[in-house]
Amino acid sequence: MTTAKAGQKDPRFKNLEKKVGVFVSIVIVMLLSIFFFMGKERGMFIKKYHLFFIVDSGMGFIEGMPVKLSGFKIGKVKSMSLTSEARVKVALEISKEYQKWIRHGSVARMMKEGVIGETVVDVTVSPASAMIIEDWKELPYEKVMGIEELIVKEVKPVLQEVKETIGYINNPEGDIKKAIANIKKLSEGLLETKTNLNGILKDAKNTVSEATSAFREADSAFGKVGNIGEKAAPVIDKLNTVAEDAEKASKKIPEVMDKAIKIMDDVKGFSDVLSKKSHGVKNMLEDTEEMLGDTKEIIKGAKDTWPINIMLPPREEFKLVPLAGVEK
Amino acid sequence: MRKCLVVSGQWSVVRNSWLKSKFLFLLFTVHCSLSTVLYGCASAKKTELPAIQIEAIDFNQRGVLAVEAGKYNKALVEFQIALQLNTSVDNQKGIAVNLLNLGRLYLLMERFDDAQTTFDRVVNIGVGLNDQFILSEGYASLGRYYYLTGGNNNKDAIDSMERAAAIDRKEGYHTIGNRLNIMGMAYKADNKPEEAEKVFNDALKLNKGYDMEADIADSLRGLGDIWIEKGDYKKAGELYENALAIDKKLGLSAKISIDLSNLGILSLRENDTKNALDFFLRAYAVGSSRGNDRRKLKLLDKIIDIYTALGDKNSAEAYSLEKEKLIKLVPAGFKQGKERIKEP
Repeated sequence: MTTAKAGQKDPRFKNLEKKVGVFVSIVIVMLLSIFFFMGKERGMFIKKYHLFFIVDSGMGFIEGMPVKLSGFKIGKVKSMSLTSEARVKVALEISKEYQKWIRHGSVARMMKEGVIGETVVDVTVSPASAMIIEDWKELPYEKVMGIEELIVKEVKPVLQEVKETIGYINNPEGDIKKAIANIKKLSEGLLETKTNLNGILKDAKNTVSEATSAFREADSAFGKVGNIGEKAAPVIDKLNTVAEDAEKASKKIPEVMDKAIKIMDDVKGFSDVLSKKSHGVKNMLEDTEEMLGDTKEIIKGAKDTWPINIMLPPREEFKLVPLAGVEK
Repeated sequence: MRKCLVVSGQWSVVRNSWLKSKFLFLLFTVHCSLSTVLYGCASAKKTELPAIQIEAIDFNQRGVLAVEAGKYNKALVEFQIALQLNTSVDNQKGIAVNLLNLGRLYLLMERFDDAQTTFDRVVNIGVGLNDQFILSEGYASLGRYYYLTGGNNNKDAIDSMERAAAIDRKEGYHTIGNRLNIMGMAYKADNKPEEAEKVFNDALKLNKGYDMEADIADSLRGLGDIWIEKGDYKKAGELYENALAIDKKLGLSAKISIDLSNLGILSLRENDTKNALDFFLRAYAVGSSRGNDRRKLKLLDKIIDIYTALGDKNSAEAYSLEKEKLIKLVPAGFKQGKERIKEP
């Protein structure tokens, strides 16, 4: 009772209803403003429309996943459901204002923003001349390779090239095998030529010695001309044989030369192929090295960043191999 | 009307105090969140060491992990890179740590001469820096080297371990039990079982005090060896079982293999051949996945002997073939039955 009286006299309670009313109104207005701005921020008052696409598997898709167009967020994945063919229908909720960019010819793709970025649904822009895709119509979906598939794609041609190179080397009709066969033939030819030349030289030596003795005999006994003539006949025969052999050998020389030239061509061709292939392999190795270096940097950076750095085992400056105490 | 005003006044007081509490609660929540984030940001890069030293530490750490995984060649490369990095910035303590690890790896790889040279360098660096930690580890490693090379070197092993233990005692290092364990083994190898038992008991007490589990297992194993020689198989068995339980808990494959092998030897002493065979086979299985070839050969010998004694020719032949394959991997000295003895 006393309190009530005091309350009546207290000037602070004058116009209390009004004050309370104003205060409550301000609070309500503030709350409404907050709700309004939050709603605006969340795009609650923006007109939206829906598209969908069908994929074989819903792996990687989640409700609320951003939908981007030219890297700009234009909507989100609204829902996912299974179709009667056990495929996945992914519904997109997109701001109406961006509808003008999504026309026939646009496709949806699931992409990752950078190596460790978030996964988004990317919608491509199509030419302005095409028809706008209407609400709740299907948007074609295009499968994009993931990082693993990209690595496989990068490595596969290299492996293919290596395989081809090995196949090329092993091919019996290939330059390498032919070159080896030609070298073999050349060495055989050279061996034969050497044998022939040895024979020729031997014959020539014999002939010369016989001729010398014949001339000596002719010189010492002029009267024995008839005998010399008899002796000279086989010598002349042998000389003819030598000449024939020499001719044969000389005929083989161009053939050997041809073989040698062919071998040189084969070797050159092989070295060209090797050079070409090794250039590709070198480039690929450099790219891979660069990529691994970048990945290492990224991981290193991530490891030094909170909160990952507190999840990792601490760096032990003086970590030692345990000194086993007992066993020998 | 008056009543209404009074109620309204009381209500506003209650509401104000509620709002105040709510505000304080919100303020507290914001403070906690901000503190967490700011602490996280502030502690993002707390390492102040130069980049090269950090890299060397990483390589060293990877080397230790490789040793633990039994990948000695990989560990060798990691330690060599760490050493190179520390040398490039003249980080003497880092160099000593890398050399210690390299030397211990050499011991595991049975490159004893390289190990000794490396440990000598460590001790020199420790003396130069007057670093008690490096000196203790250096002497202990040298002691281990002397113990492993055996023969007349057991005395050197005991001396080195005493030096290391003296430093540990003075500095209060928890590794003292480890030094005493090795010293105990050196005493045992030097045919001084009484001294060995005393040292193992001291080691066990210290290791329990410092809660050094792996070293406790080593002490128990060492004491088991003493008791088996004394003929108290029951006590030896208990000690070996306890050591095995600890090693299993810590997942130390090499030591599990040794514990099982010790239990096998114990079973043989008790004339329980089948049980012994079971223990040896288990020890061999553990050692096959991780372990040293020398030990595996010893186990194979025991397994072959038991199978032969049991008349199981097929199994004996199968393990003999296994032994032949393995013998090619073991250093020649072992094949010829030579013990590595270094003259003093």
